[in-house]
Amino acid sequence: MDVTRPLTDIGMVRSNMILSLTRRSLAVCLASALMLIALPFATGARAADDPAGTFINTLGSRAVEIMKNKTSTTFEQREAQFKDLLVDGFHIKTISRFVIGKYWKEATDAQKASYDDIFVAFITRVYAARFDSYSGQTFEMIETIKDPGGDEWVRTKILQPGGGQPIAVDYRVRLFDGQYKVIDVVVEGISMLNTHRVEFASVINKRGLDGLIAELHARMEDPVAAAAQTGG
Amino acid sequence: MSLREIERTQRGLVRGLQAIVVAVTIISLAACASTKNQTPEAAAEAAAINDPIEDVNRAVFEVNRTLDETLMKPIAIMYRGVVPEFGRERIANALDNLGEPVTFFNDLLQGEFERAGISFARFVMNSTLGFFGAFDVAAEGAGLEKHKEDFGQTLGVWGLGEGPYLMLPLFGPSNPRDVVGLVADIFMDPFTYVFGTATRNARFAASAVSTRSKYIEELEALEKTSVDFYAAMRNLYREKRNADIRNGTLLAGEPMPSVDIDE
Repeated sequence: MDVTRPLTDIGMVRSNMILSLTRRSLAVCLASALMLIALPFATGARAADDPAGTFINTLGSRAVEIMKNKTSTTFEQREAQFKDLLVDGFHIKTISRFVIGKYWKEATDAQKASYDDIFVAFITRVYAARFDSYSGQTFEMIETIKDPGGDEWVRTKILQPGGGQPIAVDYRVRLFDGQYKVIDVVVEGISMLNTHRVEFASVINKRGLDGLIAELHARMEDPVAAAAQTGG
Repeated sequence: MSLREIERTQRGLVRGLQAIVVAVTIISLAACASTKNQTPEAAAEAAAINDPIEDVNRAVFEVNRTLDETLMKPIAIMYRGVVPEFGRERIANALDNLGEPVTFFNDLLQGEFERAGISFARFVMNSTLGFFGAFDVAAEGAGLEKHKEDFGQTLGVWGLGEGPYLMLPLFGPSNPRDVVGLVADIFMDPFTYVFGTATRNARFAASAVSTRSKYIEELEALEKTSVDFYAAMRNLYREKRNADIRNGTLLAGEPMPSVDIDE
Protein backbone atom coordinates (compact mmCIF):
# COMPACT_ATOMS: atom_id res chain seq x y z
CA MET A 1 0.00 0.00 0.00
CA ASP A 2 2.87 2.34 0.72
CA VAL A 3 6.07 2.13 -1.28
CA THR A 4 8.31 3.49 1.45
CA ARG A 5 7.11 0.94 4.00
CA PRO A 6 9.49 -1.98 3.32
CA LEU A 7 12.48 0.34 3.68
CA THR A 8 11.17 1.48 7.01
CA ASP A 9 11.08 -2.02 8.34
CA ILE A 10 14.60 -2.87 7.24
CA GLY A 11 15.72 0.04 9.32
CA MET A 12 13.82 -1.12 12.36
CA VAL A 13 15.13 -4.63 12.31
CA ARG A 14 18.72 -3.61 11.69
CA SER A 15 18.93 -0.88 14.25
CA ASN A 16 17.56 -3.11 16.97
CA MET A 17 20.56 -5.37 16.75
CA ILE A 18 23.89 -4.61 18.21
CA LEU A 19 26.17 -6.61 16.06
CA SER A 20 29.59 -7.77 16.93
CA LEU A 21 32.29 -7.56 14.35
CA THR A 22 32.56 -11.23 13.48
CA ARG A 23 28.85 -11.98 13.50
CA ARG A 24 27.97 -9.10 11.31
CA SER A 25 27.48 -10.78 7.95
CA LEU A 26 25.60 -13.68 9.49
CA ALA A 27 23.39 -11.19 11.26
CA VAL A 28 22.69 -9.34 8.05
CA CYS A 29 21.36 -12.57 6.50
CA LEU A 30 19.34 -13.24 9.62
CA ALA A 31 17.99 -9.72 9.56
CA SER A 32 16.88 -10.09 5.96
CA ALA A 33 15.11 -13.35 6.82
CA LEU A 34 13.47 -11.79 9.85
CA MET A 35 12.44 -8.82 7.78
CA LEU A 36 10.56 -11.03 5.33
CA ILE A 37 8.66 -12.67 8.16
CA ALA A 38 8.05 -9.47 10.03
CA LEU A 39 6.92 -7.39 7.07
CA PRO A 40 3.21 -8.27 7.05
CA PHE A 41 2.90 -7.59 10.78
CA ALA A 42 5.18 -4.62 11.21
CA THR A 43 2.81 -2.00 9.87
CA GLY A 44 0.13 -2.53 12.48
CA ALA A 45 2.51 -2.95 15.39
CA ARG A 46 4.41 0.16 14.47
CA ALA A 47 1.42 2.47 14.57
CA ALA A 48 0.55 1.31 18.09
CA ASP A 49 4.03 1.54 19.63
CA ASP A 50 5.43 4.57 17.98
CA PRO A 51 2.93 7.27 17.05
CA ALA A 52 5.70 9.86 16.64
CA GLY A 53 7.53 7.58 14.20
CA THR A 54 4.33 6.94 12.26
CA PHE A 55 3.72 10.67 12.08
CA ILE A 56 7.18 11.32 10.62
CA ASN A 57 6.86 8.36 8.26
CA THR A 58 3.63 9.82 6.85
CA LEU A 59 5.18 13.25 6.55
CA GLY A 60 8.29 11.82 4.88
CA SER A 61 6.22 9.84 2.39
CA ARG A 62 4.40 13.04 1.47
CA ALA A 63 7.74 14.80 0.88
CA VAL A 64 8.98 11.88 -1.25
CA GLU A 65 5.71 12.04 -3.20
CA ILE A 66 6.26 15.76 -3.92
CA MET A 67 9.81 15.11 -5.12
CA LYS A 68 8.70 12.19 -7.29
CA ASN A 69 6.84 14.56 -9.58
CA LYS A 70 9.84 16.79 -9.93
CA THR A 71 10.02 16.59 -13.71
CA SER A 72 6.36 17.44 -14.24
CA THR A 73 6.06 20.27 -11.70
CA THR A 74 7.67 23.69 -11.35
CA PHE A 75 9.58 24.75 -8.25
CA GLU A 76 6.70 27.10 -7.37
CA GLN A 77 4.22 24.24 -7.47
CA ARG A 78 6.41 22.07 -5.28
CA GLU A 79 6.97 24.97 -2.92
CA ALA A 80 3.20 25.38 -2.55
CA GLN A 81 2.92 21.66 -1.72
CA PHE A 82 5.74 21.96 0.80
CA LYS A 83 3.93 24.86 2.41
CA ASP A 84 0.85 22.68 3.03
CA LEU A 85 3.12 19.99 4.42
CA LEU A 86 4.84 22.41 6.79
CA VAL A 87 1.63 24.00 8.01
CA ASP A 88 0.22 20.51 8.73
CA GLY A 89 3.29 18.93 10.22
CA PHE A 90 5.41 21.69 11.77
CA HIS A 91 4.65 23.94 14.72
CA ILE A 92 5.62 27.12 12.94
CA LYS A 93 4.81 29.41 15.86
CA THR A 94 7.27 27.66 18.18
CA ILE A 95 9.91 27.62 15.46
CA SER A 96 9.48 31.29 14.59
CA ARG A 97 9.63 32.39 18.25
CA PHE A 98 12.60 30.20 19.05
CA VAL A 99 14.74 31.42 16.19
CA ILE A 100 14.12 35.09 16.98
CA GLY A 101 14.88 34.48 20.66
CA LYS A 102 15.05 37.40 23.05
CA TYR A 103 14.40 39.94 20.31
CA TRP A 104 10.70 39.03 20.22
CA LYS A 105 10.06 40.86 23.47
CA GLU A 106 11.71 44.01 22.17
CA ALA A 107 9.67 44.05 18.93
CA THR A 108 6.80 46.45 18.27
CA ASP A 109 3.38 45.04 17.31
CA ALA A 110 3.91 46.10 13.71
CA GLN A 111 7.29 44.36 13.61
CA LYS A 112 5.82 41.19 15.14
CA ALA A 113 3.08 41.12 12.54
CA SER A 114 5.39 41.59 9.56
CA TYR A 115 7.87 39.05 10.98
CA ASP A 116 5.12 36.45 11.36
CA ASP A 117 3.94 37.15 7.83
CA ILE A 118 7.27 36.64 6.16
CA PHE A 119 8.47 33.80 8.39
CA VAL A 120 6.05 31.19 7.03
CA ALA A 121 7.09 32.01 3.48
CA PHE A 122 10.75 31.96 4.48
CA ILE A 123 10.70 28.62 6.28
CA THR A 124 8.76 27.10 3.37
CA ARG A 125 11.43 28.34 0.97
CA VAL A 126 14.18 26.95 3.19
CA TYR A 127 12.78 23.42 3.28
CA ALA A 128 11.54 23.42 -0.31
CA ALA A 129 14.95 24.53 -1.60
CA ARG A 130 16.77 22.05 0.62
CA PHE A 131 14.57 19.10 -0.37
CA ASP A 132 14.64 20.14 -3.99
CA SER A 133 18.36 19.40 -4.18
CA TYR A 134 17.47 15.74 -3.69
CA SER A 135 16.57 13.35 -6.45
CA GLY A 136 15.90 9.65 -6.24
CA GLN A 137 16.66 9.44 -2.52
CA THR A 138 14.55 7.31 -0.21
CA PHE A 139 14.31 7.45 3.53
CA GLU A 140 14.54 4.83 6.19
CA MET A 141 13.14 5.04 9.72
CA ILE A 142 15.63 4.10 12.41
CA GLU A 143 14.19 4.59 15.88
CA THR A 144 12.31 6.94 18.16
CA ILE A 145 13.97 8.24 21.32
CA LYS A 146 12.45 10.09 24.27
CA ASP A 147 14.27 13.29 25.11
CA PRO A 148 14.75 13.91 28.84
CA GLY A 149 13.08 17.27 28.23
CA GLY A 150 9.84 15.58 27.09
CA ASP A 151 10.13 15.83 23.31
CA GLU A 152 10.61 12.82 21.08
CA TRP A 153 13.35 12.33 18.50
CA VAL A 154 12.46 10.40 15.38
CA ARG A 155 15.65 9.28 13.71
CA THR A 156 15.75 8.65 9.98
CA LYS A 157 18.28 8.19 7.24
CA ILE A 158 18.17 9.50 3.71
CA LEU A 159 19.61 6.88 1.37
CA GLN A 160 21.48 7.96 -1.74
CA PRO A 161 20.39 6.37 -5.02
CA GLY A 162 24.02 5.70 -6.06
CA GLY A 163 24.79 4.02 -2.73
CA GLY A 164 26.77 6.96 -1.30
CA GLN A 165 26.97 7.84 2.40
CA PRO A 166 23.45 8.03 3.83
CA ILE A 167 22.45 11.31 5.50
CA ALA A 168 21.22 11.23 9.11
CA VAL A 169 18.08 13.31 9.66
CA ASP A 170 16.52 13.53 13.13
CA TYR A 171 13.17 15.19 13.78
CA ARG A 172 12.41 16.80 17.13
CA VAL A 173 8.72 16.15 17.66
CA ARG A 174 6.44 17.63 20.33
CA LEU A 175 2.80 17.04 21.24
CA PHE A 176 0.50 20.05 20.88
CA ASP A 177 -3.07 19.30 22.04
CA GLY A 178 -2.62 15.63 21.24
CA GLN A 179 -1.18 16.39 17.78
CA TYR A 180 2.43 15.68 16.92
CA LYS A 181 4.31 18.58 15.35
CA VAL A 182 7.90 18.89 14.19
CA ILE A 183 9.84 21.69 15.90
CA ASP A 184 13.35 20.96 14.67
CA VAL A 185 15.07 19.07 11.87
CA VAL A 186 18.63 18.00 12.62
CA VAL A 187 20.65 17.06 9.54
CA GLU A 188 23.91 15.22 10.30
CA GLY A 189 23.87 16.65 13.81
CA ILE A 190 23.19 20.21 12.63
CA SER A 191 20.05 21.77 14.02
CA MET A 192 18.08 23.93 11.59
CA LEU A 193 16.58 25.72 14.58
CA ASN A 194 19.97 26.62 16.07
CA THR A 195 21.37 27.63 12.70
CA HIS A 196 18.49 30.01 12.06
CA ARG A 197 18.70 31.37 15.60
CA VAL A 198 22.40 32.18 15.20
CA GLU A 199 21.85 33.68 11.75
CA PHE A 200 18.90 35.79 12.87
CA ALA A 201 20.77 37.08 15.94
CA SER A 202 23.70 38.03 13.73
CA VAL A 203 21.52 40.04 11.34
CA ILE A 204 19.50 41.69 14.14
CA ASN A 205 22.70 42.72 15.95
CA LYS A 206 24.00 44.46 12.86
CA ARG A 207 20.88 45.80 11.21
CA GLY A 208 18.08 45.56 13.75
CA LEU A 209 14.84 43.62 13.49
CA ASP A 210 13.70 45.67 10.51
CA GLY A 211 16.94 44.70 8.83
CA LEU A 212 16.15 41.03 9.42
CA ILE A 213 12.63 41.38 8.06
CA ALA A 214 14.02 43.14 4.97
CA GLU A 215 16.59 40.35 4.54
CA LEU A 216 13.89 37.67 4.83
CA HIS A 217 11.95 39.43 2.07
CA ALA A 218 15.11 39.63 -0.03
CA ARG A 219 15.61 35.86 0.32
CA MET A 220 12.13 35.30 -1.06
CA GLU A 221 12.83 37.40 -4.13
CA ASP A 222 15.98 35.48 -4.96
CA PRO A 223 14.92 32.75 -7.40
CA VAL A 224 15.90 29.19 -6.61
CA ALA A 225 16.55 28.34 -10.25
CA ALA A 226 19.72 26.35 -9.68
CA ALA A 227 18.27 24.34 -6.84
CA ALA A 228 15.28 23.40 -8.95
CA GLN A 229 17.48 21.69 -11.48
CA THR A 230 18.98 18.39 -10.51
CA GLY A 231 22.59 17.50 -10.77
CA GLY A 232 23.63 14.01 -11.49
CA MET B 1 60.53 11.13 -0.61
CA SER B 2 64.14 11.93 0.21
CA LEU B 3 65.44 12.65 3.67
CA ARG B 4 65.97 16.22 2.68
CA GLU B 5 62.41 16.58 1.59
CA ILE B 6 61.17 15.16 4.88
CA GLU B 7 63.37 17.63 6.70
CA ARG B 8 62.02 20.48 4.66
CA THR B 9 58.43 19.37 5.26
CA GLN B 10 59.05 19.12 8.97
CA ARG B 11 60.67 22.53 9.12
CA GLY B 12 57.68 23.94 7.29
CA LEU B 13 55.25 22.27 9.67
CA VAL B 14 57.14 23.50 12.74
CA ARG B 15 57.04 27.01 11.35
CA GLY B 16 53.34 26.55 10.69
CA LEU B 17 52.77 25.42 14.28
CA GLN B 18 54.64 28.45 15.59
CA ALA B 19 52.47 30.71 13.49
CA ILE B 20 49.38 29.01 14.90
CA VAL B 21 50.51 29.52 18.49
CA VAL B 22 51.13 33.20 17.80
CA ALA B 23 47.77 33.55 16.07
CA VAL B 24 45.93 31.83 18.92
CA THR B 25 47.62 34.12 21.45
CA ILE B 26 46.60 37.21 19.53
CA ILE B 27 43.07 35.93 19.18
CA SER B 28 42.80 35.19 22.89
CA LEU B 29 44.03 38.68 23.72
CA ALA B 30 41.54 40.17 21.29
CA ALA B 31 38.80 38.10 22.91
CA CYS B 32 39.67 39.44 26.36
CA ALA B 33 39.75 43.01 25.12
CA SER B 34 36.39 42.77 23.42
CA THR B 35 34.47 41.37 26.41
CA LYS B 36 35.47 44.23 28.72
CA ASN B 37 32.65 46.70 28.28
CA GLN B 38 29.71 44.31 27.88
CA THR B 39 26.62 43.47 29.85
CA PRO B 40 26.67 39.91 31.27
CA GLU B 41 23.95 38.95 28.79
CA ALA B 42 25.90 40.21 25.81
CA ALA B 43 29.05 38.53 27.14
CA ALA B 44 27.19 35.20 27.41
CA GLU B 45 25.97 35.56 23.86
CA ALA B 46 29.46 36.38 22.61
CA ALA B 47 30.77 33.30 24.43
CA ALA B 48 28.15 31.13 22.70
CA ILE B 49 29.08 32.55 19.31
CA ASN B 50 32.77 32.53 20.28
CA ASP B 51 33.95 34.50 17.29
CA PRO B 52 36.16 37.30 18.64
CA ILE B 53 37.83 38.07 15.31
CA GLU B 54 34.61 37.97 13.32
CA ASP B 55 35.62 40.91 11.11
CA VAL B 56 38.83 39.19 10.02
CA ASN B 57 37.03 35.87 9.61
CA ARG B 58 34.36 37.47 7.47
CA ALA B 59 36.98 39.06 5.23
CA VAL B 60 38.74 35.68 4.77
CA PHE B 61 35.36 34.05 4.17
CA GLU B 62 34.67 36.50 1.34
CA VAL B 63 38.05 35.70 -0.25
CA ASN B 64 37.32 31.98 0.07
CA ARG B 65 33.90 32.45 -1.47
CA THR B 66 35.36 34.34 -4.41
CA LEU B 67 37.91 31.57 -4.90
CA ASP B 68 35.12 29.03 -4.73
CA GLU B 69 32.90 30.87 -7.20
CA THR B 70 35.67 31.48 -9.73
CA LEU B 71 37.69 28.28 -9.36
CA MET B 72 36.50 25.43 -7.13
CA LYS B 73 32.84 25.41 -8.03
CA PRO B 74 33.36 25.61 -11.82
CA ILE B 75 35.93 22.81 -11.60
CA ALA B 76 33.55 20.72 -9.48
CA ILE B 77 30.73 21.28 -11.97
CA MET B 78 33.04 20.39 -14.85
CA TYR B 79 34.20 17.26 -13.00
CA ARG B 80 30.61 16.25 -12.56
CA GLY B 81 29.91 16.85 -16.23
CA VAL B 82 32.89 14.82 -17.44
CA VAL B 83 33.05 11.91 -14.99
CA PRO B 84 29.85 9.87 -14.62
CA GLU B 85 28.45 9.14 -11.16
CA PHE B 86 29.89 5.63 -11.10
CA GLY B 87 33.39 6.95 -11.69
CA ARG B 88 33.04 9.76 -9.16
CA GLU B 89 31.90 7.26 -6.56
CA ARG B 90 34.98 5.08 -7.22
CA ILE B 91 37.31 8.08 -6.95
CA ALA B 92 35.66 9.32 -3.75
CA ASN B 93 35.95 5.82 -2.25
CA ALA B 94 39.61 5.48 -3.21
CA LEU B 95 40.41 8.87 -1.65
CA ASP B 96 38.49 7.99 1.51
CA ASN B 97 40.40 4.73 1.67
CA LEU B 98 43.66 6.68 1.83
CA GLY B 99 42.27 8.40 4.92
CA GLU B 100 41.65 5.11 6.70
CA PRO B 101 45.07 4.93 8.48
CA VAL B 102 44.55 8.36 10.07
CA THR B 103 41.11 7.25 11.23
CA PHE B 104 42.63 4.06 12.60
CA PHE B 105 45.32 5.87 14.63
CA ASN B 106 42.82 8.37 16.00
CA ASP B 107 40.41 5.58 16.94
CA LEU B 108 43.26 4.06 18.96
CA LEU B 109 44.11 7.39 20.59
CA GLN B 110 40.45 7.78 21.56
CA GLY B 111 40.35 4.29 23.07
CA GLU B 112 37.80 3.20 20.45
CA PHE B 113 39.27 -0.23 19.82
CA GLU B 114 36.29 -1.77 18.06
CA ARG B 115 36.11 1.16 15.66
CA ALA B 116 39.88 0.94 15.16
CA GLY B 117 39.38 -2.71 14.23
CA ILE B 118 36.67 -1.80 11.76
CA SER B 119 38.87 0.86 10.20
CA PHE B 120 41.80 -1.53 9.96
CA ALA B 121 39.70 -4.30 8.42
CA ARG B 122 38.16 -1.83 5.99
CA PHE B 123 41.57 -0.64 4.84
CA VAL B 124 42.86 -4.17 4.29
CA MET B 125 39.73 -5.40 2.52
CA ASN B 126 39.11 -2.33 0.38
CA SER B 127 42.76 -1.87 -0.63
CA THR B 128 42.91 -5.45 -1.94
CA LEU B 129 39.48 -6.84 -2.85
CA GLY B 130 38.14 -3.34 -3.36
CA PHE B 131 40.71 -2.48 -6.00
CA PHE B 132 42.78 0.20 -4.18
CA GLY B 133 39.70 1.36 -2.33
CA ALA B 134 37.59 2.09 -5.41
CA PHE B 135 34.93 -0.31 -4.19
CA ASP B 136 33.75 -0.27 -0.60
CA VAL B 137 33.47 -4.04 -0.32
CA ALA B 138 33.90 -3.84 3.45
CA ALA B 139 30.65 -1.90 3.83
CA GLU B 140 28.69 -3.71 1.13
CA GLY B 141 29.92 -7.23 1.76
CA ALA B 142 30.69 -7.29 5.47
CA GLY B 143 28.62 -4.45 6.88
CA LEU B 144 31.69 -2.55 8.06
CA GLU B 145 30.44 1.00 7.64
CA LYS B 146 32.77 3.89 6.91
CA HIS B 147 33.61 6.40 9.64
CA LYS B 148 36.14 9.20 9.84
CA GLU B 149 38.26 10.36 12.73
CA ASP B 150 40.92 13.05 12.89
CA PHE B 151 43.17 14.46 15.59
CA GLY B 152 40.91 17.48 16.09
CA GLN B 153 38.18 15.05 17.17
CA THR B 154 40.68 13.15 19.32
CA LEU B 155 41.57 16.36 21.16
CA GLY B 156 37.85 16.97 21.64
CA VAL B 157 37.38 13.48 23.06
CA TRP B 158 40.28 14.19 25.43
CA GLY B 159 38.35 17.18 26.71
CA LEU B 160 40.10 20.07 24.99
CA GLY B 161 37.79 22.96 24.10
CA GLU B 162 37.49 24.13 20.51
CA GLY B 163 38.60 27.72 21.15
CA PRO B 164 37.52 30.72 19.08
CA TYR B 165 36.15 30.25 15.58
CA LEU B 166 38.69 30.67 12.80
CA MET B 167 38.18 31.06 9.08
CA LEU B 168 41.30 29.75 7.38
CA PRO B 169 42.26 30.83 3.88
CA LEU B 170 41.53 27.95 1.44
CA PHE B 171 40.79 25.41 4.21
CA GLY B 172 37.64 27.20 5.39
CA PRO B 173 35.95 26.98 8.81
CA SER B 174 38.14 25.86 11.71
CA ASN B 175 39.25 26.58 15.25
CA PRO B 176 42.61 26.32 17.07
CA ARG B 177 41.89 22.74 18.14
CA ASP B 178 41.20 21.65 14.57
CA VAL B 179 44.21 23.55 13.22
CA VAL B 180 46.45 21.58 15.58
CA GLY B 181 44.55 18.46 14.53
CA LEU B 182 45.08 19.18 10.86
CA VAL B 183 48.85 19.44 11.32
CA ALA B 184 49.02 16.36 13.56
CA ASP B 185 47.06 14.32 11.00
CA ILE B 186 49.62 15.15 8.32
CA PHE B 187 52.37 13.75 10.57
CA MET B 188 50.27 10.75 11.49
CA ASP B 189 49.42 9.85 7.92
CA PRO B 190 51.74 7.16 6.51
CA PHE B 191 51.02 8.42 2.99
CA THR B 192 52.73 11.71 3.86
CA TYR B 193 55.98 9.73 3.92
CA VAL B 194 55.13 7.27 1.15
CA PHE B 195 53.97 9.72 -1.49
CA GLY B 196 56.17 12.21 -3.31
CA THR B 197 55.31 15.89 -3.35
CA ALA B 198 53.49 15.68 -6.68
CA THR B 199 51.34 12.75 -5.54
CA ARG B 200 50.54 14.49 -2.25
CA ASN B 201 49.44 17.61 -4.10
CA ALA B 202 47.39 15.58 -6.56
CA ARG B 203 45.68 13.80 -3.69
CA PHE B 204 44.90 17.10 -1.99
CA ALA B 205 43.50 18.61 -5.18
CA ALA B 206 41.49 15.50 -6.04
CA SER B 207 39.99 15.41 -2.53
CA ALA B 208 39.01 19.06 -2.79
CA VAL B 209 37.30 18.60 -6.18
CA SER B 210 35.65 15.31 -5.24
CA THR B 211 34.27 16.71 -1.98
CA ARG B 212 33.13 19.96 -3.53
CA SER B 213 31.30 18.11 -6.30
CA LYS B 214 29.18 16.29 -3.72
CA TYR B 215 27.75 19.49 -2.26
CA ILE B 216 26.99 21.68 -5.27
CA GLU B 217 23.20 21.77 -4.81
CA GLU B 218 23.24 21.64 -1.02
CA LEU B 219 25.58 24.60 -0.64
CA GLU B 220 23.72 26.57 -3.23
CA ALA B 221 20.40 25.93 -1.47
CA LEU B 222 21.96 26.92 1.85
CA GLU B 223 23.43 30.11 0.45
CA LYS B 224 20.21 31.13 -1.23
CA THR B 225 18.11 30.59 1.89
CA SER B 226 20.53 32.08 4.42
CA VAL B 227 19.97 35.52 5.85
CA ASP B 228 23.61 35.48 6.96
CA PHE B 229 25.58 32.81 5.11
CA TYR B 230 28.70 33.38 7.22
CA ALA B 231 26.81 32.86 10.49
CA ALA B 232 25.05 29.82 9.04
CA MET B 233 28.36 28.22 8.04
CA ARG B 234 29.84 28.97 11.45
CA ASN B 235 27.01 27.17 13.21
CA LEU B 236 27.07 24.36 10.69
CA TYR B 237 30.75 23.75 11.24
CA ARG B 238 30.53 23.88 15.02
CA GLU B 239 27.55 21.54 15.31
CA LYS B 240 28.96 19.12 12.74
CA ARG B 241 32.28 18.91 14.60
CA ASN B 242 30.49 18.35 17.89
CA ALA B 243 28.50 15.54 16.30
CA ASP B 244 31.72 14.05 14.90
CA ILE B 245 33.31 14.11 18.35
CA ARG B 246 30.26 12.45 19.92
CA ASN B 247 30.34 9.88 17.09
CA GLY B 248 26.64 10.49 16.72
CA THR B 249 24.27 13.00 15.27
CA LEU B 250 21.54 12.83 17.90
CA LEU B 251 20.98 16.08 19.79
CA ALA B 252 18.71 14.52 22.46
CA GLY B 253 19.36 15.87 25.92
CA GLU B 254 20.79 19.12 24.60
CA PRO B 255 19.05 21.89 26.46
CA MET B 256 16.71 23.88 24.27
CA PRO B 257 15.94 27.33 25.62
CA SER B 258 12.25 27.60 26.41
CA VAL B 259 10.24 29.86 24.17
CA ASP B 260 7.36 32.01 25.20
CA ILE B 261 4.89 31.54 22.41
CA ASP B 262 2.00 33.44 23.93
CA GLU B 263 2.54 37.08 23.08
